[in-house]
Amino acid sequence: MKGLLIKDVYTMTREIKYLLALALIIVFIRNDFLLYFIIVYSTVLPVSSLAYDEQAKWNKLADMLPFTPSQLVGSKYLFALLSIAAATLFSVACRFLTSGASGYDIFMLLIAACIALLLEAIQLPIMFGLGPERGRILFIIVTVVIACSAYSIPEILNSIFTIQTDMSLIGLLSGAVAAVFLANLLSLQISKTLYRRRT
Amino acid sequence: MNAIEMKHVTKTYPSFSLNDVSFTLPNGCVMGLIGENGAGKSTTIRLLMDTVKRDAGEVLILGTSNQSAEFQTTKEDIGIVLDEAYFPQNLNAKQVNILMKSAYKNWQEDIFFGYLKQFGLAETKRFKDFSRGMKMKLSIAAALSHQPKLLILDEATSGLDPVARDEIIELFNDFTREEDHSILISSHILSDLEKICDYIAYLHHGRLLFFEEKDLLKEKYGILKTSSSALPDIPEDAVLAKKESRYSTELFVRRSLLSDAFETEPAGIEDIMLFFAKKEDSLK
Repeated sequence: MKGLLIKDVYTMTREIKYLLALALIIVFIRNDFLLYFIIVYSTVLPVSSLAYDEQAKWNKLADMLPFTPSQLVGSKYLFALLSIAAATLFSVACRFLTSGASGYDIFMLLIAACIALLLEAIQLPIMFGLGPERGRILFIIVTVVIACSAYSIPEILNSIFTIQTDMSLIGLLSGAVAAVFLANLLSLQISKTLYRRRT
Repeated sequence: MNAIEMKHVTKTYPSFSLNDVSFTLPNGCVMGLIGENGAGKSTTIRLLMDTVKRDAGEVLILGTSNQSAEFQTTKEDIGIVLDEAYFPQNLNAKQVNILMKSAYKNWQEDIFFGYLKQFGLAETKRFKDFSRGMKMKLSIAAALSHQPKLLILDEATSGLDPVARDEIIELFNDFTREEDHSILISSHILSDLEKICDYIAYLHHGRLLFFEEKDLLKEKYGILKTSSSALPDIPEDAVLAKKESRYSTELFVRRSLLSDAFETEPAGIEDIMLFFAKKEDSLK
């Protein structure tokens, strides 16, 4: 699995560089929206890596190597998790460094990470089922949804939580993490089944 | 133990089917899988590796059913080269080493880098900037660097110049010096197969027309160059096919039915393949 992850990082070097450039811009212009955007935008990386794999017909070879379908599919989920985690860490750190961060700011960034993971849980089975080529239109739709949700996360959450207590925030975050965990577990199983069906 | 046993394997697609294919590759031998484009060679290889699900039949690789859980472990002993090198385009040879190290427990990077040096492949050049020949060489280097017992090669020498092909064929020859090492190689380049194969299997429109020892095939069939005036002296039942030109007549013959008075040359794999293909097509 480690090798598959490293392969994805090497394959996505150019996109990772773009993301780092965006991160650099965020540091300078201090824009809240971009802090959320970078988290949800990081979900593009695993999906794009699937498209690159398809373009190189990598799976034709990978299926014949001693990789299991669980490893081949699971590595994409792990790559998604690591991409989103890295983007979230960056956003949190950036928030601390630029304006200091309240518990509520961090909470909202973590909720954005949960939404990103949830969207990944929706996107990846589509990609494994339809293939990146045919899943592209759906991917574009989901990306638009991602962008819109990134923009509206703070507004939505602000309107829901008029009374903010640490307890309600922790409770909501725990619920979100549990939901995301279950969604990804289910998504992983669906993706594995769809991947096996392709043969 | 046999390296490969394929028993009555069938796979049907909407526009193509592979019908009842059976062959056995004994351990320590090399088998050439020949056939025209679209005959089913690559499908056969995918069925062997179970990346395409068969409709019927059974496949054993190195004694393990390819649909059993144990086959995952057996894959450690199989080196694969497909008709194209399918490594991710942005990777370089060094990164391919890291990737393959994670795939194979027995991966030997010193051997891999040794092959890179031998083939003149740059370690840091991106895969997409390699020529087709270089890509195939990288695939071959990867297939040979994890102590495989069986090599499955799908058009592995295509795209290579004659000198490089000769070098690779020599490598395959070295590989089979170990008595438990076997190779299945599909190729259009029949001269390569003539050099290294012990067995030849011929697929034509998804049917296996013959599977036989190469030496037996060459012993069985021959080419008799004669003149049209000498034709009446030749037993009719020995003549399987005839090619006439203004200056000579070339007969494809069954050698056992001719007396020693006739000097025949052993038939080439290509002659035998063409004879079987024409015979099969004439029956349709």
